[in-house]
This record gives sequence, structure tokens and C-alpha cells, in this order.
Amino acid sequence: MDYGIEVTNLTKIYGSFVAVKDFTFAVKRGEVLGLVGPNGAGKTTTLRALAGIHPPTEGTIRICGSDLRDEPVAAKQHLAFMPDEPRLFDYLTVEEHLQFVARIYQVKDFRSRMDPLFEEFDLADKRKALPSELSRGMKQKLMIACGFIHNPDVLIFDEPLTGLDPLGIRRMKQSIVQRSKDGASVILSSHLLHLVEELCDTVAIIQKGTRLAYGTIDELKWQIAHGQGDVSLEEAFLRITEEKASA
Amino acid sequence: MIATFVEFTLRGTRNRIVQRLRRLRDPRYLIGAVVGLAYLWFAFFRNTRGLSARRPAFTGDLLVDILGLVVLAMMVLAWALPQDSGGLQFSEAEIAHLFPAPLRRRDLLLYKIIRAQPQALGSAIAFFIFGWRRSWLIGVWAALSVLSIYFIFVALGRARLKLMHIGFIARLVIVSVILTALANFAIKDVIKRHPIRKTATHADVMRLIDKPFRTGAVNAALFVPRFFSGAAVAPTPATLATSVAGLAGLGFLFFVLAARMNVSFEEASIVASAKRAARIERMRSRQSGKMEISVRRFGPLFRLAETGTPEVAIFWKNVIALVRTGFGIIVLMLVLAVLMIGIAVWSHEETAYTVIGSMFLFMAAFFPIAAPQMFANDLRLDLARSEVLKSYPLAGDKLVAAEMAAPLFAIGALNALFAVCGSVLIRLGEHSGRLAQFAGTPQFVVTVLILTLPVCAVLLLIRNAMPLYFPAWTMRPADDPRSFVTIGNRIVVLFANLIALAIALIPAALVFLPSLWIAVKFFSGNAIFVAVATVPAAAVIVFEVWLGVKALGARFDALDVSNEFDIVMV
Repeated sequence: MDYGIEVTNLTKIYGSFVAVKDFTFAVKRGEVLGLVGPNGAGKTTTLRALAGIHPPTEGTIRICGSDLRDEPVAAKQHLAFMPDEPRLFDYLTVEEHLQFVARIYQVKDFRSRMDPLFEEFDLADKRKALPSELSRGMKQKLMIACGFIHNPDVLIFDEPLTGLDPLGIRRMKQSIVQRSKDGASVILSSHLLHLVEELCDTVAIIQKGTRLAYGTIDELKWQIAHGQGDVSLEEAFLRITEEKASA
Repeated sequence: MIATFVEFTLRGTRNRIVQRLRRLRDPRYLIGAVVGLAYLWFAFFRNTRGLSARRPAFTGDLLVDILGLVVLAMMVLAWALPQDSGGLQFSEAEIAHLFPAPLRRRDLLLYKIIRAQPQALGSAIAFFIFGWRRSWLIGVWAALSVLSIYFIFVALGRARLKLMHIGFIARLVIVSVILTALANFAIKDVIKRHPIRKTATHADVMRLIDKPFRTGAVNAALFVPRFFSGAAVAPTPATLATSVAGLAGLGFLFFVLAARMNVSFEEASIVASAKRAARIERMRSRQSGKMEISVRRFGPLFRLAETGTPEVAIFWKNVIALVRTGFGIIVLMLVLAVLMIGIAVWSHEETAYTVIGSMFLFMAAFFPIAAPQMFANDLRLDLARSEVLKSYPLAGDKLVAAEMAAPLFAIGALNALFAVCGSVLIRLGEHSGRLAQFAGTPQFVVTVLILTLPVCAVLLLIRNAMPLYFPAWTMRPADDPRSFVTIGNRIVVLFANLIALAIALIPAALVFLPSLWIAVKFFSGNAIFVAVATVPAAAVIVFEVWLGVKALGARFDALDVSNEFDIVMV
């Protein structure tokens, strides 16, 4: 099977605090994995480890077959990380941001890719704007456009819909679905369970750094409902996390 | 309500003090506190003790009168400045909790007054310890408290004036007229009634200065301010008692007047609060290395090709940042250089050439030390975005080298310009000294050019290494207010930078000294050989820089970027 992301026994410890413990999962090409969990569950830590932002304490991460620890540059060439808070360069215009990222990822035809991205994210009339002149939502869109400029094989989203208007949310959902259809492996974290239910093929529920459930959405629902009736992902999530909390 | 506000204030103050004390368990804060206090001691306290040992210039009633004049000026000026018309300053949290609460405006004023007390007491204690041993703690506290009530009254008064269509300009004109009239009265009084004779003794002069305060318009104008100054620097306990009693009455009067003003200050307070938040944000931005964009319309200095070495993109980005944020400094430096050259050429004198040439060389010697702070468009600027940088397919060492390149070339180019200008001017000055003769040779310029970039690179490397290796010493949480602990931290970091620089230059010096000795001993100090002698030393520095970049790159790769992005430089 062709996997974009393969994570084995991922563990991340800060001092004496275990943020993530023995987390194992994989995302196939064209698959969207939703990472859900309560606040402080370890979602962002996991995503940051996948993006090579902080090294895992234990475990291995492979991006499109390249080990993130041994071949970081080769692995990162395939991925794009979109943090929850857009971190832009204050002194670069919108267009310069894309130009800068394109050179980092060696995108030969970036000019032909730039215009469709501007259209997709409503940035066409903001080409010469500085980040300080953009709203929170526009900044988020620019951050995501920068992530898409090199057609990455692996997309990592941390709360991708934060700050977007309804139209922006719809377009973002379409973009994610389209990229996954084009063969990208997508992992996203969100508290919006209806979004996860709508977009994701598989879901991993984590709490206090530990994986509680992992499977397709139908599998999780069936597991909770015990084959009787139908439950929503929200219901499944609440039951799983409450069971764990009371255990 | 008063009890609630008092308890809230006491608890808040206690928590703050406990938090500050607890944090002293961290060696960084403890050392910072010790060094900061030592700095304050040497900067202020030591001097005031020295002053107190000498004969004071003004004492007794005269001191009360002079301080009263200062208070009077403040009280009058408060009607003109600041430009804002009314509005009391509340924090975001206070606005969110107090404004919707079922409180009368009078209660909000009371809250402001009670909340101001810990700060007034703290200022009084600091004034007593660091400023003036002859001040009365209780008196200074009372004076500051009542002064704060007066300022609340004036703020609301300004809002009332605005409703009466008396704006900032009108207030400024009226206040200027009043202050000018008062100054005029005082000066005329002194000159006409009490001419100071040249033969007068110190005591005579003091008496003559004191008299105008006791008569006429000045005496009347100082009636209220004397309560404040009398409480702060009372010559006798009796004066203190009467002044504090007077202040109590004044405080009550100002409060009643403020409460009866019946001016809606909520909206103006929200605006004032937003302005304050924006001001703090701007200050934090500067501290975190973010620089204000001065010339945004400057495009990239060179075209970035789509493919090629990816690290060039980092250099390209930082050149844009440097031009857009540091353009003013670059222009200032160039204008300064042109002015200095212009003065030298215009005077066309040997002395002018030598002096201005020496000034250029002095600038060349010290510019690399100060410049990395002016041109911080490198890793320091991008630390807040390290989350994004680390996700790029770039090796740490190459990233660090690319980050440093833009400021290095800017600093190196300006420094080389200063050195070349200095050398040429000294040559034109035809000074007979041996050192000056060498400084005027092309070989000297070559020597400087060989050494400039490596030395600047070492300095930039040290500056970039500090936040990566010692983040706790160079960064602080954005919401952590600056204090003497911060001053202490800065001093420690500054010394650490200088020590690191000295250590980094030792190997190069060890290589350079024998080379120089050979050049002097066997080649009679020939300038060409001296220039050649610097090459091995420069090579040593370049090697050190290479090692440093490798180490810093590895450090950046291993950096554990946590959620703590909301940090700023100390």
C-alpha cells in the first residue's frame, strides 16, 4: 500500500510531561485523516512532529517513504504544514510570499500556479498587500496558498477553518477534497466534528497523548452503537472520551 | 463597594509581589534582579547619597515653594496635555468586567483611585529610597494619591470642555497664556523687588529667591500646590500634618467635583484603552525584532529565479526586509558620510582631513559592534516564525548562513565605506605620524576589507546564537512587564556577548601577532606585508564562523519549538 504518512510509536515528552505516547497510524495517498481530541490532547504536538518542527522523543515518522529523522530535507520536500495561527513575514507582500516559498520548494512553473491559487483563495486583488493589511481570514488563506504552491504530497492542517468566513470555509473544504482526490495524503486536526465527519475518511481520537480510537468513521460509529442504530461522530467522540475519563 | 475594591486591590498586589518573589527561585531572574538593582544603585542611589552629604542647594520652605512651582506647572499643563479629551484609562479586563456591572460612575472613579494606591505607595517608597532621604514617605504617598485624583478630575474636565466645543488647540492656547502670565509675574517680581547683588552671600541669595514666593500673585497661585510639596518635603512634622490634612480635603473636593462632572467617559475610555493596547503592541513588536516597515514600496533588489539554491530565497527575503525596515538607517549613515566628507573637502585643511578621517576610522571600529542591533533582519527576526521555517526542506546550517547573509553584507558594506573614506581622508591630511601614514595606505584599506566581513560575521553569529542557546536569557514572555530584572538580564547578555567576542578573536589574534611581528621585524613594517599578515588571521575567523554556523544549524534543527511563541527580546 502506498502511504504518504507512516507514524510508528510516536512519543513526545516535555520534561516529565508526556504529550504524546506510542501513537501509531498511517495515511494512504488520497486519504484524509481527522485528528480529534479535547484541548491539550496532543493533536498539535503530533502535527508539529509530522512537519519536522520538533523531533519526536521516540518513534519513527516517514513522509512518502523518507524517514523524517534521517532524511529531513527529502521528507519535508513532500509536505506542507498549515499552522492554526498564520505565521507570515511582515515585510513581504502576498505575491512575494508565494515567490519565496516557490523558490524554497524549487517550483519551476510557479507563475502559472500562482494565478489559480490567487483565484482559489480570493487573493487576486491583494497581491501587493502586506500581511498587516490583511484580515485574519485572508492571512489564513495566504498561509494555505503558500502550502499549496508546490503541490505537496502530504498536507498537514492544524485547525484549517479557524478565522474563515462561510465562503472561505466552503472553498477550503473543496480544496482539501480536491487535493486528496489528486492523490495527496491529508491530515487535519479540528474541534469541528461535523467538518471531520464531512471531510475525513478515517479518524484518530486521542486524549492525554494516547490514542483512544482509530479507524474509518463508519467503523467508529458501529463500534459505539454496537451495530444497533446510528450515532453521529460527535456522539461517538463524547462516549469514547468519557469512557476513557471514567475508566 | 469600597471594601470590595480594597480587597481586590490588596489581593492583586499581593499576588503580583508573591509571583515576582517566587520567580526569583529561577537563577535567571535572581541574577537579573541582583544585577538590575546593582545598576540602579550605581546609577542613582550612590549619587543621591553623595549629594546628601554635600550642602543642599535648597532647603526648608524654599524647597517646598520650588517643588510647589513644579506641581503647579503639572496641574495647569494637565488641562492642555495629553491631546485626548477625557476618558479614564482602564485595562481590557476592567472594561469587560466593570462597565457592564451595575456600578455607578462614582464607583468606577472610586475603583480607579483605590487601584492607583499600590502604585502611588511603590513610587513613594522608590522616591524615598532612591531619590530623596529627606522626603516623608507618608507625605509623598498622600501627595501622589491626591494628584492622581486631581488628574482624574482634569480628564473629565477636558471631556466637559470638549462638549462645550473647547478643543485641544483652545486648551493649549489658554494654558500657554496662563503659564506665560505666571512666569512673567514671577520674573518681574524677582528682578524688580529683589535685585541680586554680585557681592551677596549664599544665604542672601536664598533669602532673595524665597521672598517672591511669599508675596503677590505667585504666593496666591502656590496656595494649593504647597499642600502637595509641603507633604512631600515638609521641613517639620507640623508642616507635614497640616499639608496631609489639607491634601485630604483637596482629595475629597476633587473627587466630589469629578463625580458631579456627570460626563460620559466610557466610550472615551474604551478608545484610550485601545490606543494603549496598540502602543504596547508596537513596543512589543520592536522588542521581538519586528521592525516597522518604513518604505514598503521598494521592490526586491534582485529577481529571484524559480529554481536554484533554495537558501537564496532566505537571503532574498531578508534583503527585502532590510531595505523596507532599515532604509532610514542606511540613508542616515550615507548622509552622515557625505556630510563629513563635504565638511572636510570644503574646509580643505590638513587638520580637517585628519580629524574627520579619524572619525571615520573610529566609526569603522565600533560600527560592527552596534550595527547587528540596528540590522536584526536575520534569524532573530524569524524566531517567531521558526515553526514555519522548520517545516521547510532546508538544512539548519544552510538556513542559518542564509539568514545572516543580508545583514552581514549591509554592515560589511557600510563599514568598508567608513574605512575607505577614513583612509583616503587621512592620506589627504598628510599627517606625519607612522600610524596615520599606514592608515592612509591602500594596504590598510585592503587589511580592513579582509577583516571586516569575518569580524562582522562573528558578531552576527554571537547575536544569533544567544536566543538559540540561552532563550531564557534573551527572550521573555510578551505579557511580562519590564522591570529592573529585565535591565539586569540585558546587562548580563551584553557582557556575555562581549566576552564571547573576545574569546572568538583570541585564536585570530594569536595567529595575527606573529605574522605582524614578522612583517615589522623582517620587512620593516612594510604596509604590503602587514596587509598580507592579516590573511591567516582572517582565515582563522572564517573557520570559526564556519564551525559556528554548523553548530547553530544543528542547534536550530534540534530546537524544540513549543507553544511559547509569544515571546519578545529582553
